[in-house]
Amino acid sequence: MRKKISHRKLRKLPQSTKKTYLLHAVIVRYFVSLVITLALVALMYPLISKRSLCANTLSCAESLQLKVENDKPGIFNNRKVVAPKIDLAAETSKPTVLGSQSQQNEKHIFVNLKTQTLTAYEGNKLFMKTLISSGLWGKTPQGDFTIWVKLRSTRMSGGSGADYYNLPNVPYVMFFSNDKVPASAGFSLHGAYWHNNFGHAMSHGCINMKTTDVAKLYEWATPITDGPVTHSSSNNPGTKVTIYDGNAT
Amino acid sequence: MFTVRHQVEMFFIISLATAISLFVLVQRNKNMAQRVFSAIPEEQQATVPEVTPIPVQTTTMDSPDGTRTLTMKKEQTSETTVHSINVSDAGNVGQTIFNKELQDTQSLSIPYNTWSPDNKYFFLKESTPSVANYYVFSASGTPLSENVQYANIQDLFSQKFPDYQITDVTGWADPVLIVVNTTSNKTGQNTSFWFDVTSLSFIQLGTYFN
Repeated sequence: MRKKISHRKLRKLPQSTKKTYLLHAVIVRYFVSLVITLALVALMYPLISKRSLCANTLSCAESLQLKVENDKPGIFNNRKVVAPKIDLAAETSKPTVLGSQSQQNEKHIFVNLKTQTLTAYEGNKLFMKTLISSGLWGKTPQGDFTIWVKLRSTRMSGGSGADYYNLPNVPYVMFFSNDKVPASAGFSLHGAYWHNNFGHAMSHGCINMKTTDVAKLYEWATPITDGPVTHSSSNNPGTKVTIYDGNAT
Repeated sequence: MFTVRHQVEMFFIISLATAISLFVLVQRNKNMAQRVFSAIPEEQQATVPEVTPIPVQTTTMDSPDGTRTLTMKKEQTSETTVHSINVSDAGNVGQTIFNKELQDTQSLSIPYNTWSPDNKYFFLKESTPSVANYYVFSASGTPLSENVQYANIQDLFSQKFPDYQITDVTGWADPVLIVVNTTSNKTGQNTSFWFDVTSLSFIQLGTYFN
């Protein structure tokens, strides 16, 4: 093992030997700091990754708010797409009195990731069965969730490079969450006007649906719609959403 | 001499002959009547000739936003089925875009993802015993491109990529790109392509759209 040399001894050494010692010292310091940095990253990773878990990486917080932007183009697959126009004033919202709907049978939405299908039940009665698109570029979380807010429209953006997207007027958005996937993560069921490849994974983690299907589901699901933004509450709770891997059943 | 006794015998003989003749005649007519009608089977007598209606099946698929509808009418004849494809807007009659007569071993269908997201194009699937053809049309009825009324993805693909085989054409990745899933004949590897309807060309992808 190489002995540690004091500064006085080092001065007395020949120039070439001195240079070799200094070089060794620099390399050793570099490696030690590298190992420490990697260890710190490894320790911090779970916290960092949890905080950045977000369906729409570029509009995480922005997507949670109502946004209607007509005549603005969207971008998907690095190509322009025309967003549908939304006229909130023209959409005559049906005034619904809480409790007027039949609350006897619980509403429940099931999403099977293997078959890429969604089924919606009120008690044992099937309301809807249709094809969806779950996560391809981002993973769709699995588990039991509750819809915590419904937005008539918002903007979603994220991805990078070839899979960058920036889409205004994403229609009929139903954000869901649970104790493991927070509301701020921005996972939702929503309409997709930029593709028509349902039955196959196509999203960045959300559940994409055909606009005509999601419009019906949005109207059916709770919290009962009382405007362009509807939060769930104890009086108006959100519908349960169960997302599962069909391979496991 | 013609006695009274002779006259009575003559009258009796003539009466008997007349009676026998009448009996024979009546019996003969009876038999003729039986022969004439017994030659016709009873079933034929009971059957009234009818015009058999040709069964017509109608299949529809709305565009993703619900504003346009694709309708396929299938008329079954004895050996073939005539398919008629019609595009209509809400409340309008619409226009016929495509007609095709197929044998019983072939079929034409409207896939769930038939419409492009902007409602400008649609595609159909034709299944045959040997291969599946996928036809892409402009929904306005105009040619898809110059001198091309519609495109057959299967034909175009097999010409450009003979080492691959189409396994499915699933839908639209965007308003002009159709997802084409394939398998390599050499390696068996699954590869997705996009078919660009504006240039009638294919783009090989790194991501497989399962």
